[in-house]
Amino acid sequence: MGLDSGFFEVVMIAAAAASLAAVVWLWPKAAARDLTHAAARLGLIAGSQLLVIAAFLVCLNGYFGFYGSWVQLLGGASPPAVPAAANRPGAAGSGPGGRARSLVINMTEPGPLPGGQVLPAEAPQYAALGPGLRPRAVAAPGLPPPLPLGPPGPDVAGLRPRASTSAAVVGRLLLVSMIGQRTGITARGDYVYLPPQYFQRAYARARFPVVLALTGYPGASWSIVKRLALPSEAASLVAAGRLPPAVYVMMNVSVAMPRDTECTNIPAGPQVESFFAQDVPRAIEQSFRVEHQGAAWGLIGYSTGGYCAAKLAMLNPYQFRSAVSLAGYYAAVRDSTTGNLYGGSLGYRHENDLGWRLEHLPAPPVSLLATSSRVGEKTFPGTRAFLRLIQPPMRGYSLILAQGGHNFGTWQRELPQALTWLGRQLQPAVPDQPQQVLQHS
Amino acid sequence: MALTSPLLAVALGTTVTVLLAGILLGWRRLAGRGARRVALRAIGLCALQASVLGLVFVLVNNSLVFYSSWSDLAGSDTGGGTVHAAAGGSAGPADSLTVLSRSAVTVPGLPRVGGRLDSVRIHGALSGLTVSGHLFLPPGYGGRASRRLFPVIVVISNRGADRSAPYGALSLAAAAAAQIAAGRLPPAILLFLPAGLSSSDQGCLNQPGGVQAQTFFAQDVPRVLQTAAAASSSASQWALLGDQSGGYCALQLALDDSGVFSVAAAPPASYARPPGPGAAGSPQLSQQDDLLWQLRHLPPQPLSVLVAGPGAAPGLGPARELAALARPPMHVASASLAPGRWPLTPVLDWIGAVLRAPAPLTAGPR
Repeated sequence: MGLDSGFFEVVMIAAAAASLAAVVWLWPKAAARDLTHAAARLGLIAGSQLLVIAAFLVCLNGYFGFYGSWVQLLGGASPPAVPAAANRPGAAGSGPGGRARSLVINMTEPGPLPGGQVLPAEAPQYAALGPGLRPRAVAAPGLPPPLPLGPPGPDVAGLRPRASTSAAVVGRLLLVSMIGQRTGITARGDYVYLPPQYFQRAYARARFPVVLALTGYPGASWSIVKRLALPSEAASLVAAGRLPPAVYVMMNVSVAMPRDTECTNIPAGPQVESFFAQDVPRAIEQSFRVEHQGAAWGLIGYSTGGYCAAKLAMLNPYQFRSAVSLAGYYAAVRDSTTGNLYGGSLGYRHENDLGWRLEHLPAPPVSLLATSSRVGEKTFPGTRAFLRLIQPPMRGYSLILAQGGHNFGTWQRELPQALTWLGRQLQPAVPDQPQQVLQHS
Repeated sequence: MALTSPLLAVALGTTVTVLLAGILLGWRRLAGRGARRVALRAIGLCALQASVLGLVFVLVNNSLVFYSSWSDLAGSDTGGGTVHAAAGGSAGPADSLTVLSRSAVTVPGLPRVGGRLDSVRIHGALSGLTVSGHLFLPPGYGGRASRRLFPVIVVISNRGADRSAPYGALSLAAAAAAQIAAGRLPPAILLFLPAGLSSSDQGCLNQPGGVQAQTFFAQDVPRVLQTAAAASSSASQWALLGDQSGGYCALQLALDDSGVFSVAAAPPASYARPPGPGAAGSPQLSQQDDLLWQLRHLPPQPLSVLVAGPGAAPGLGPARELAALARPPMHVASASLAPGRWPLTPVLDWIGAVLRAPAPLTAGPR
């Protein structure tokens, strides 16, 4: 039974309610004055209390999307510490030229489209797509499922303007998996949002800027779609003319659940920084009509995703020119969920401490927007200290609320300004001249 | 009472204690039949459970601060604040390529000038390192203005300034000019850089918390040559060539940054991390920097690798292990180099063929 399925929530709530009823029912049977019955009274209360708390936690997990499955929570079937080379030529899913496919579209309509109707209450169940490590491409009416890995062009993925008329109005949300060609890391259950302009004739030859959005830890990329409502906010800002259209790649920051990797190239372990800085951009460039690295690539993330956004940009300024860190932190953390991320090397840990970098290494040519709150955010002092360290050519921007906790409500309030800021940093897609459009139609 | 106030936790804790005590003490009194008693049991139990849940929530929220106030919890806060420029600003381009001196490259028997060899100094904006080296520009090179972009061969050797060494700038530039004139190497930019950027041999790796050599080679150098010189930005047009001191560098950089480099040539050697101070105290870092370990544990990269050395019989020693571990799209070829005036000519020819070929080359040089 899926940890985050609605059915499991119902079962847990029913169990908690049943336990309450059972205690009321069994109450007289544990009423005797001896020690055994006293213990039974305590046991009844404690047992039912545990079930109530468990139901509460399951519902909380379902709402926030901390853990998407039992494996993510408990580990076990997670990828090995060092991913084995999964993409041997000839393996299922190999593309032309013996290279494994770097991106697979698992579903083209995971739900009503952002900016269109209301989103579904639940994330689509990825588990329903089939077992096994290798993602399976799903055939969808109107779209050819296998993704050609040729040179990027207007027809890639069959997502031409004529593929769907509604896509040209509300855009399209895709459920994707990515297989890292450099690192061997596989990321599943992530989302790509293509804006309506992607399907419009005027933009048929335009390449779009890309925003890579990262969750916190633990988290689910569906939270970016549903709780942060990033595609829907972006769509309404674009419609209002306040934001140029962009492709949004929304990913779970944890690619080695249940471990918190902090987007680090872990010595002799998962190379998570390289996955996000090299593999994901190559996979997106090969699959969609997007601009290549630099001014057209930006990052946004909350909490751990904020740290990751800032770090990925600072370490790879020629791949990502700008980053938004929503309630992020800037030090290299080490706790029970991360384990040893730095190979026992203090120097390497320093390199992952963004404040240390600004004090000891040249500042990279990137722009960073850091958000926090004066009241309600533990990250506030660290954010202020970090912003003070920023030197040219790096640019630091701040968005500080008077009050707001570490939650989606706060980040939603910051999102319009943050996206507008990010939109100004990104190199926009250039549509064809209107005359040419007329000639086409 | 504020959501994050300690008083709230104390109040809830007191409620829990009182309810629990009341239930335990009144258990026998409520144990009888009758709707009133059953209802009292249910109400007491639910109140206890609810206050325990509330206490757990408040304690967790106080330690992690998910919600800062009741209005924050209810989602009724509004106002998103404004963006302020906090620090930093623009500065001039921090990358630089400084030409210290120029000389023409002449090839015996060639009427035209075979190219230009500049003595240069390169400053990397990200690593902050300033490194002296040599830059060979082929005939026909017209700078950024001509819009023609050239492939790049980065030669990593501590003997770049040695006039007679095979990997020295002078002799290798002459060999390259001759092969370009003969049409066996496409006109290419050659950049000669030392392997040792610090006092210790760090194998062109980032010394943890220290000299960022890999950042210099993999990010700064491509940036400098792509902005200050007419260098291609395609990985398929970037090759690395190293001698005994720079061979590990060439292979390491190619494996780690296959999005920047696609060709590497190096002598057969040990592929373990050089014994510099970088990995001191971290067996994991040493393990990861062993190139054979990388080939065993990470996906194969789209690379063409040539193992070349004087008298090195193909496929012997560590090179054999390297070749055995390489799987497509990585290809390993080997070449035995004969001593002579320009012993690296076959290597240049092989690199030339790879740079021209659309796909990785499987065969070694003829």
